[in-house]
Amino acid sequence: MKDRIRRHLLSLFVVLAAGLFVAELFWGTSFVSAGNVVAALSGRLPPDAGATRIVIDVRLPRAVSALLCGAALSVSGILMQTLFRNPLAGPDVLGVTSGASLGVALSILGAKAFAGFGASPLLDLGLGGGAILGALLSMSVVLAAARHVRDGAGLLVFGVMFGFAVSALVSVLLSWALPDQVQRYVAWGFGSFASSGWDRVRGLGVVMIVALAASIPLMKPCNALLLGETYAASLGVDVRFIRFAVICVASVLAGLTTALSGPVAFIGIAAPHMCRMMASSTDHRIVLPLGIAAGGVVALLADLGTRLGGSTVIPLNVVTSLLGAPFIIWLILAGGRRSRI
Amino acid sequence: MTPVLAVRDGSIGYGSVSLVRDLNLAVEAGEFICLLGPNGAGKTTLLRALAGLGALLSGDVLLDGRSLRRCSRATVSTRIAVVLTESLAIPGMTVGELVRLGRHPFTDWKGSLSDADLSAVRKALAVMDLSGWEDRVLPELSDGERQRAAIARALAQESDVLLLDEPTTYLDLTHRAEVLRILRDVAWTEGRAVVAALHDLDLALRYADRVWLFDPKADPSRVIVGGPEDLLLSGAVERVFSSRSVRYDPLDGTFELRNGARIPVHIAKGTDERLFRMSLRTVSRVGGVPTDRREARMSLARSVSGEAWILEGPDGRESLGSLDEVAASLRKRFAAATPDESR
Repeated sequence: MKDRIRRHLLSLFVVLAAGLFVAELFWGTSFVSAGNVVAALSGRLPPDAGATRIVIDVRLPRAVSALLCGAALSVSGILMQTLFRNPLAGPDVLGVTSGASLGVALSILGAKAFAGFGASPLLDLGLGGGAILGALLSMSVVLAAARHVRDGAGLLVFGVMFGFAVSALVSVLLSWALPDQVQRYVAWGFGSFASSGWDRVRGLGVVMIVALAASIPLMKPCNALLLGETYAASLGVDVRFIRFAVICVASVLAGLTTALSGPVAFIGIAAPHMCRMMASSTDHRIVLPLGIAAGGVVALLADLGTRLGGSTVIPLNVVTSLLGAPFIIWLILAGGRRSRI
Repeated sequence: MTPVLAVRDGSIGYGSVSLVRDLNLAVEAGEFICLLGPNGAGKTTLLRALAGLGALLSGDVLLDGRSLRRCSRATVSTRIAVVLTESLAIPGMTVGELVRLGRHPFTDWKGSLSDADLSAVRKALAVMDLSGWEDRVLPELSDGERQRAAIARALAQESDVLLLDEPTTYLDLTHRAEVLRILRDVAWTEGRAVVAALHDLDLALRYADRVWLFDPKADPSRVIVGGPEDLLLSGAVERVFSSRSVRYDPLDGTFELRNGARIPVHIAKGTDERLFRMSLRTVSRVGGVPTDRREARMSLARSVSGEAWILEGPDGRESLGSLDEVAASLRKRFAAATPDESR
């Protein structure tokens, strides 16, 4: 009975995700008639037509990016919450997001500072490239730390402190920046699924899908990790290796998401809780697949939410925070009795 | 016969400080062993080493005669199950999910449970009196109920060896006795080796087949192995568990307070064994020393009518309605008799 409900829940989220994905294609700030959208998708319009440009080159990569990022954030959050046995852990606890923001800050400043020396390819990475580099660098720092820190709690503290230090560096950099550079950095900080064109979505998307797939074999050991590392070891789990694998997958997912869409808040914390609550389960075999679908749904919803302001685009993080923060608060208030958090 | 689990020339401790040296211990199939000893003696450390979750400072743990270090984690997890003292109040996790995790070492890469796995889970739940509790969420349970779920998880693992660290913590008295009975049944009827570290001295001594008694007072500290009654007779249990103010009474299985006035009070034996025993307890509870010597300064007896207690002493004779009143009067009399010592 319960299993059937859970299976229905998964189908429900998959259908929802599909529906929202289609809605992303048909609804945007510029008007394209439904007939033209279908025509553009089926390739019946010339590639340089306005509708094709909007639907194929703008809306489609944006929808794909929202779907992938949502799923990635959600899975990353599930893994982090399990690894650290902490309900407030999320994709950003390991400082990967901060690392990405440092990369972005550097690339914004660097572009101007070194403009006189001619555009070296390294400095021409753009915001996305800077984010990827920053995320990868901070990831390697965290992974190196994970090999030396013995327990989860220590690593959590390391990640949070690392994040603080990197953020401080960003602040220092920004204090030297020109107003328009600061503005670009702040705009990036709002997050957006729209900024990623096909080139980047294609490249990063493949890695994301691989990382999402890599999380599937982690479901079973993660279930044992819920009991704590000692119990997990007694159940035959190679705790050190699994911890390393979990951190790898989670930080790759978090880093790529940040590279694609900036630091997106709350989805990574809220979506996992939503899944556990709806499925009344902590079993990763149920929660993780559900998390992939639900994360996509939440991100697509949030992205559609950014268009509610008509011609003014509401920043993505405003929408996710306005949805996510009350949800978490509600979980604590209502869920305290039912021990969800 | 090779013991299922054994320690050879082991020493345990922290860092470079060894708590106990030259450990040579063995558990055989079908045996229920209780680990007794004061806090900090090394019981948990030994249990973790036996489970392969921690290392001995030196020496070896042998599983079927083979060093645990040479066994894979996966193998060990199919042979040894543990109950730790760590809290299992995991948000959102149900009793069913917890107990099903006991089958973790036996499932495929997805963690799917076979019919055999599910029947092991059902059996473990039934043994721990938790049938029908599968959907209860762990943090909602009382500490004792959660402890039973933790034991059910270990039972579901159906391992040859079961190691438990203070499994009766948080349980009410009935369930304590019940858990010890279950553990012994598991050992006796299913032929598993069960080792439990316990603080319930009396219960442990009543159920254990053999006792590993940590004696940190000995120099060097050691682990004494023996049948419960032999250890009682040799005085080992009394020595380990008595302190300046508390003495363990090996015959009664009770602790006697050594503080207070320690004034002898004669207690008339009477005809009713229950009344006699309760009056003994009352007197020693408030710091007196019950004695059968009539020369004692104070004496307590049942009145001839059998409805009151008669307390006599240098401060006069009183007729008291309950042992509560006897206790109150004794305390007053003791305080008056020993004004200097009590200061």
